[in-house]
Formats: sequence, C-alpha cells, structure tokens
Amino acid sequence: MLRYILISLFLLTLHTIGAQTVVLKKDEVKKDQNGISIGVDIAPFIMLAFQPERRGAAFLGRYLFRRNWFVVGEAGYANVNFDRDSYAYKSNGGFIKIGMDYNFFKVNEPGNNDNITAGIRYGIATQSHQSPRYTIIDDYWGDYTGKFNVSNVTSHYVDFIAGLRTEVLKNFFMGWSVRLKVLMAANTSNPLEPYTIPGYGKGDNRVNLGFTYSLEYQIPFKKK
Amino acid sequence: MKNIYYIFLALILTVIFGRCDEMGDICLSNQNAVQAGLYSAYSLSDKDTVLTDLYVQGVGHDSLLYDSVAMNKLFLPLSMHSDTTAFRIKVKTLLDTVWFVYKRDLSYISGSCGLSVSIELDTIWFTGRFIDSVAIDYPFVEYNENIENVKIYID
Repeated sequence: MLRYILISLFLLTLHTIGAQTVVLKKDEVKKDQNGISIGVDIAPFIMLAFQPERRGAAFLGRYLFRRNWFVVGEAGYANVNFDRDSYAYKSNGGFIKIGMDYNFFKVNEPGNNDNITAGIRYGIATQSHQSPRYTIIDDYWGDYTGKFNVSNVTSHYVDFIAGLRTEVLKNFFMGWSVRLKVLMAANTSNPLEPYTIPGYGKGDNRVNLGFTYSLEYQIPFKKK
Repeated sequence: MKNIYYIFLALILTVIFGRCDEMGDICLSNQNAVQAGLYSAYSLSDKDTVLTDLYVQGVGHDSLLYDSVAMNKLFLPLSMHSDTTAFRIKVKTLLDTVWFVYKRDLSYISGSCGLSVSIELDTIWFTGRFIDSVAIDYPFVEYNENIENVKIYID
C-alpha cells in the first residue's frame, strides 16, 4: 500500500513540475509571493465520516519571511467521546504549532507561486480528559469497574513535514502534506493516557504518520 | 484536470493516513491469572507432574475452575476486588487450600483495549496435605505475558 502512495506522490510531483517548466522564460524573474496566508485543514472533516468519535479542526497561518522560507503557525482543537465495553472516554483539548517550511520548487515563472516544501513544527497540546467508566472483565470473580475523574495532560511533539502547495485561483491555494510526528513528552497524573493528543493523533504511539489537506487564502500586499 | 487529480489523490491519502493509526491493536482478555506449574517434590530437577482427578475452586465461589481433569499447569484468576484470593485444590480425596497475597495496580494497555490490573505476588500460604512447597518464580502477573509465576511442588 505504502509503495502505491509513494508512487502517486512521486507522479504528482513530476506532474506539477513538468507542467511548469514548459513555460520557463530565461529573462523573467519570478516575484516572491508576499502576504500572509490563512487556511484551514479539511482532513479532520473528511475523517469525521470514518471516525465519528473524533471531532476537531485545524487552522494555519503562513508568512514568507525571506526567499523560500515560510514561517508557519497552526492551531486547532480535538475532542474525543466514546463509550466502549472496556471503557468510556472523553477528552477536550487544543494545540498550537510553530515552525518553518522551506520551498524547494524554484522556477523563474511570473505568477507561479506553487511550492514543494519540507518543514518542521514544534507542537504543544493541552487537554482535559476523563474516563467516566472502565471495566475489567472477570468472568469468575465478577467485573471490576471504576472511573477516572478529569485530569489535564500537556504534550510536546515535533512534526517533520513534506508537502505540496499550488495556487488554484489567484490568491487561493490548495496544499497537502505528509507528516512524521514524534512525541517528545506527555505528562499524565494517573494511569489513564490520552486516547488522542490534539494535533498529534493516537496517544499510544511514540511516532505517528499524519496527513493534512489545506485550503489557504493569501491576503495580498506588496513590498515597498 | 490537474486540480481534479490533485483533489482526488489528496482525499484518498487523507483517508489512508487517517485510518493508519487505528490499525494494529488486537485486544486480549484484560483479566489476569496466575500461572502455576505442578512439579514433583521428589525430583532434583524441576520435573512437571500431571495431577489426575483434579478439582480447583475459588474460596467463596460456587463454581469450579477445574472439574475432574488431568493438568500439569493451573491458571488461577486472582480477584481484582481484594488483595487476597484463595483456591481449594482437591486431588482425589486430598484437599489443600492455597492463599495468594498480592498488590494490585491499574495499568493502561492501549487506547483501543483500555485498562488492566497489574499484580505483584507478595506471599503464598498453603495447607500441606499433598502440596509439599510453593515457590514464587516470577511475581508479576501482567497483561499479555505468558510466564509461569508459581511452582507448586507435590508430595
């Protein structure tokens, strides 16, 4: 499966680059895209169809602070609520990420603001979670049940990112990124660990793979 | 056309990556049982012994765990409501009682499987009708571990 994903990514990259290089003009110099972009990651909305117990949203802001370097900030929230035989679980929390993207897609074409980027984010998430009921099934002595009251968890993680971003209409961008997320620390005060960490994903894993699909609008302004 | 391809691929990747973190958990029973091997007290090396016509019942419980069977290893579920669990073990006409004293701690298994109770065996008492001695080999009884915890030596 992974092989097909990688092949698709590779083909798409070639497709994007191939489409642009045809119209290169030697004496033209591309102007840097200026302005702040704001956007939304719509992947959580798509995933809601498959994981109705997980709700969330993520927003981002992007600013080209020097040639090919973007400062990127992200923020969002994630809520989880389910009731299974083994336990019930509730979590509400949010996250903030800050980092940079570097654009590898260098083309001297006026008006071409497409990007192929690699980047890194530092993320911090806070959440309050609880288990209103847990059950340890014991067929002989009888089930053991209990609960965990609300407690707070703060988590730190790093995202390593590779992605594409293309201008589909003037100042409107679509982009996606593949993310390798590494959990640095998550402090919990009781045995209950977070089912998911906002902005990170499944709390059991020290490393998660993630995917974002963002729509962005660039608020244009010109450099003096 | 380029954009349609782009959107379609992105949707597929979103679903694939989103589902990736849900795979891989197979949940076992979160009830833990002491594994007790039965050994001959007369052998210099640990040689397992098969007891025939064996009955095992938890003290305070009506139903039998083992009912007239032949076994060389017992799986004895410890109660999570108490720090002591006792079992009556009967072989033919001989009856012994074994008490397990232990510490309990809640432990987290995974987001998919929930919680379990980890047990650390502290002391074992027994009556000596046909049981010669008992040794704690590995005191920890934990989720998804298949280790013999106790050796019961039979006269």
